Amino acid sequence: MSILIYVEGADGELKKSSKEAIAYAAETGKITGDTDIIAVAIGQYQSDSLAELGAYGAGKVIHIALDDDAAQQIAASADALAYLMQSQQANTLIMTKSAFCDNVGGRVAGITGASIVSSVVALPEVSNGFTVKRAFLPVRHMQR
Amino acid sequence: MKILVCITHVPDTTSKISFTDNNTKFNESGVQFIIGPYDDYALAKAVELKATLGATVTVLNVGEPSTAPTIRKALAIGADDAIRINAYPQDAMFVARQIAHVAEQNGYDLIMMGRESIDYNSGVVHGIVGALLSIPSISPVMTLEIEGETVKLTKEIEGGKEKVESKLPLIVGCQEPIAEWKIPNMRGIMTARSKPLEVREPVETDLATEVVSFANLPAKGQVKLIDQANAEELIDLLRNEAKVI
Repeated sequence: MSILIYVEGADGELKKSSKEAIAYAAETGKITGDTDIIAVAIGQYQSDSLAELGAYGAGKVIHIALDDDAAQQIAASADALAYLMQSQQANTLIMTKSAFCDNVGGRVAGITGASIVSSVVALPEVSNGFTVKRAFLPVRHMQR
Repeated sequence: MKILVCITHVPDTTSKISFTDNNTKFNESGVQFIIGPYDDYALAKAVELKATLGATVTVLNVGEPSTAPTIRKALAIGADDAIRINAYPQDAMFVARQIAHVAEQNGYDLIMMGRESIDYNSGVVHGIVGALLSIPSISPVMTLEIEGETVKLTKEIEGGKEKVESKLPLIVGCQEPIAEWKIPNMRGIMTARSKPLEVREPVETDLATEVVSFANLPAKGQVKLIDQANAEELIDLLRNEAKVI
């Protein structure tokens, strides 16, 4: 199985948080045994930026070269990611925390029926299901 | 026009946080609960649309009987009626499925909610509901005007704002400055007592997630000052004590 990471960018460059998300996904893959770490970039990006993702742990990059206006369409991005989850046999989709990703992530969950947990702050534990630590009010709690 | 406003029943941010049942449940004892602040914006805008367009405003809450006072407050602010789904809001998917089910049954033109709740801050429910109903969902929305079947709105994006137009039906996640919060007046409080509050049982849904345990944040340690000439000590502390690298 694989792990997908949706990467965000601006002006053709990837955001630092997206690179961190890939590093998080690579570490998660070591824990879950998912060896295919696939970054998904939707929109216009410099090819150098995308090639750089390998250094953070992505084994493959899927680039959907929509123009930036179309890439900012929540439903279009969600449909693409839901399709890729199925076609790439992904059991996990990792996104950074942003208003756009919240919108897209919610729609992907609605389309695929996947569980969704937001504001995750630590790597998962898999000894009993898939357990992550997330923010709750000013404290933290564990959610499976 | 029929508007559904989904509200959360959340702890006031000044509440003292503690847990019970071996840290598996949030201790609600002594906690002041409020309408989610972002939901309050959605409600205030819906009440404005009621006044300008003659819309009807229904409030929906997924919650146990203890949420009734919060719902009554929403009615006092100006909603016409309310529905409470009689269940603990277990997770975002559960809540979204309840909202989608009510929307399918009753057929609303506009579904409004806050951009996120202030307990879990997920901000994903409007997206899930949009996907379940196959209608657009837009968030965070800062202004909203309706002209016929067209909704004109301003959405916050990174570093700016974006003007968007959409057709109804539509789901929006609201934030300031879409409307001024409204404080219920005495007449509103009195009439809220007699407004309909329907209680429905939840639709059966497989729970996608469960809370395993809660934990308070560890107490903050003292600040350690490292001399700029001693980078190795800094790296060692970050790696072995803070465990962030």
